[in-house]
Amino acid sequence: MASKSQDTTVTGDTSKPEKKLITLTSSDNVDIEVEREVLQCFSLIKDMLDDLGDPENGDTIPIANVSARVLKKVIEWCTHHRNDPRPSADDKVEGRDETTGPNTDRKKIEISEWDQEFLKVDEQEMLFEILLAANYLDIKALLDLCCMAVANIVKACVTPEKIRAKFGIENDFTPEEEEQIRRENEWAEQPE
Amino acid sequence: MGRHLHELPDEILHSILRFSSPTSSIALGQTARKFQRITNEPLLWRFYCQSLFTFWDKRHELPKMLASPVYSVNWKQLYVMRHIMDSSITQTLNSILSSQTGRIEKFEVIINFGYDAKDTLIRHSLAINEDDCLARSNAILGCLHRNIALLEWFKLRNGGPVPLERALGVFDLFIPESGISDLDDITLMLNKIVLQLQAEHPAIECLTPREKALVIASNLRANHLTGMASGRDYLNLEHSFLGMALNGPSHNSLPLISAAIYCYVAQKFGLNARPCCFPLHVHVIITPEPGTDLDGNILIGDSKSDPMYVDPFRSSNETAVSDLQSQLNFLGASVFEHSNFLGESLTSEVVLRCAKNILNSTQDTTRSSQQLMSPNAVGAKYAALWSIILFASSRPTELRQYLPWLTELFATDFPFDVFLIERHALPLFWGLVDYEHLLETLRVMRTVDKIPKQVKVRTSRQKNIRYRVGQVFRHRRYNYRAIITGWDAECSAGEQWMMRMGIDRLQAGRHQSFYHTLVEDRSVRYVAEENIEIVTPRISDLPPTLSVVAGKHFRKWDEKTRTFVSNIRDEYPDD
Repeated sequence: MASKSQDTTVTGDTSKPEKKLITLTSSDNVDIEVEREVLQCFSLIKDMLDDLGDPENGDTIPIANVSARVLKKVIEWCTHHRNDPRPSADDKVEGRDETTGPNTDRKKIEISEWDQEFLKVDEQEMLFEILLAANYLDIKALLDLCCMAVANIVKACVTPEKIRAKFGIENDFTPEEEEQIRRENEWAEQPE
Repeated sequence: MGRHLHELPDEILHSILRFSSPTSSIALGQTARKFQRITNEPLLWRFYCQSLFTFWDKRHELPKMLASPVYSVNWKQLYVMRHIMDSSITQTLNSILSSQTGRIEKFEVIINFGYDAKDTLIRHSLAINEDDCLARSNAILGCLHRNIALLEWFKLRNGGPVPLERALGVFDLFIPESGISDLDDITLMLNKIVLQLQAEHPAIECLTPREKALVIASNLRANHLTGMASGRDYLNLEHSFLGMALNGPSHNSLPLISAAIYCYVAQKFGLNARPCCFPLHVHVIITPEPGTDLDGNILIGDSKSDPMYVDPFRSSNETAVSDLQSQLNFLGASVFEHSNFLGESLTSEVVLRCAKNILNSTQDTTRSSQQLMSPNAVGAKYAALWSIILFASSRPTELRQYLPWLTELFATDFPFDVFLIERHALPLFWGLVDYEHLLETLRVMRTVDKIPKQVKVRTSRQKNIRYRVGQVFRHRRYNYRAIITGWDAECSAGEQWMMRMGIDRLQAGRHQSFYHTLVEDRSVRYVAEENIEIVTPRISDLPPTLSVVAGKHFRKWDEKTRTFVSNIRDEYPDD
């Protein structure tokens, strides 16, 4: 691996004005061309390219865990958001560090209109697949967006019964357990 | 894999829950075992505690809990406690707003939650979209701050270790506009100054005590952190408040406050610096460590070395003790008094002196009544009177002299502080005649507070009452502006009052409607209908003091009708 990175010293030269295309291969073996600049969102791939350099002509980057359908959605999102300010390394640490002060920013984030349209996918499954792809490809902003969208669905359900129905969750409590848990959580039944 | 919610990895579910709310986490936890486990993660509940609540009562020892392993604290239980408290405070607050009866007790209920109540109170006072934003203003928040403030002074009074900057910071807590809502804010600001000084003088630790003292004095002055810009009004109220001086853009302060800032910084650099209550002008005295002198020499045997004096307000040089002594001689001080005036002062003495400075400012007759009646000035005066009552109690004559002032101010401007007076002031008068008087006053206030207001309905008989609660008027003779807060079909004040005020000389005499009114100078007056000229100003034309006090009786301002919307319908249902 080390020798390869020495061969390709052009790695740092990404500011070229012409759009460079890179080909990704999805898990179901479909080749998809992406502008290199858009791939900057994919922390996983970006790190790989930074380490190894761009693939040789004709080579593609395999994305083992993501199907073409999902990958296209993810690329669509990244293309739209390519010019968003990227979180710096410091932000990243803070976002993940559990010991820092209250992270109130999270509540204030609102989902933009474009993102809302983007998330209007036919099935819940698609939302989860995008979420998992974002997690795998390490696209923090998209992952947060998907988590927020799921959280909003949970919030809108309000009662355990509706949540079960919405997400197809099987109730595996005994009636006694269920009653006990309900009693323990009575405080939450009043509006906040 | 991962096509269903329950198939998502735990860490992603946690992320989702963080974007969700505590109640929906609870609902999710009730769906199945897996989610029961996931939603009981202490990390999640610590996150909710921290992100949803900013203020924590000291008794929780939150910093200590945050530092301990997450599993050793029952974060969920803590959250649930705050949640229940929040609902209960909201309920009490709504009940205070909906009825004028029993408010004293309800205030007490909220204040007893301690600092934990603050998040809820702030949320409600910020709810400007609610139709009763005026009433929800910061009355209770102010009371909460005063309670915390008084507890700090009480601790000092009982000989507890209260640092000077906290004892002086208490004054700021009495003033909503000070921007100081927590004594820790003051310590934080002072620590910033220490860090900055350290950065500007990296070698300061290598200096002798005397050199250090002078470096600190000149640094603070160069950064305008002590002293006062020339041309400033010396008696300006804000100069007596440590928090306001630190917070303000130009940091102007009286000598006492400058000395307090200096002492804090100097102590952080290892100097034994204390304020010295020299007459008319507080200085700082720096005493050498035992066995050394201020130039860093080790002393031999039992010999003692002299302290040094600094006047951080005025100068960055040392003040010669001979100068101070000759000033004392000039003032006619006895030799015994010399040692008193030149020694270190107790924190309580400094507080008392600050209180006197504040009273001087609030009684300065060159000021306009507008300035003196501002909420700032009233709060400042109230704080000053409280501290005198608390710290001058070794001198009963002084104590008794100031009590009527305190009682009057409290009854007119802070009537819901009854329990603060009961808790903190009343015990000091035990054994004095004033004790029974005060007790009786408080008892009457509580009783009156519990009696439902007599309902005043507009019947056909009262057709002659032309004006309504909430209207703003100008007094035809005295020209002040006021709001109507109540009415009587005819003058119902006592005969003596009517005689004194010459009511029968009015055109319509005593048999015309009379109105209870709230005047722009915060006073309460009883006005005959013939003297009332209704005006319809914009809210921006009214003095801010009027809107502040209006919150006691009114829900909000209605720009359409140009009147205040009544919050006393329990008393005047038709207005």
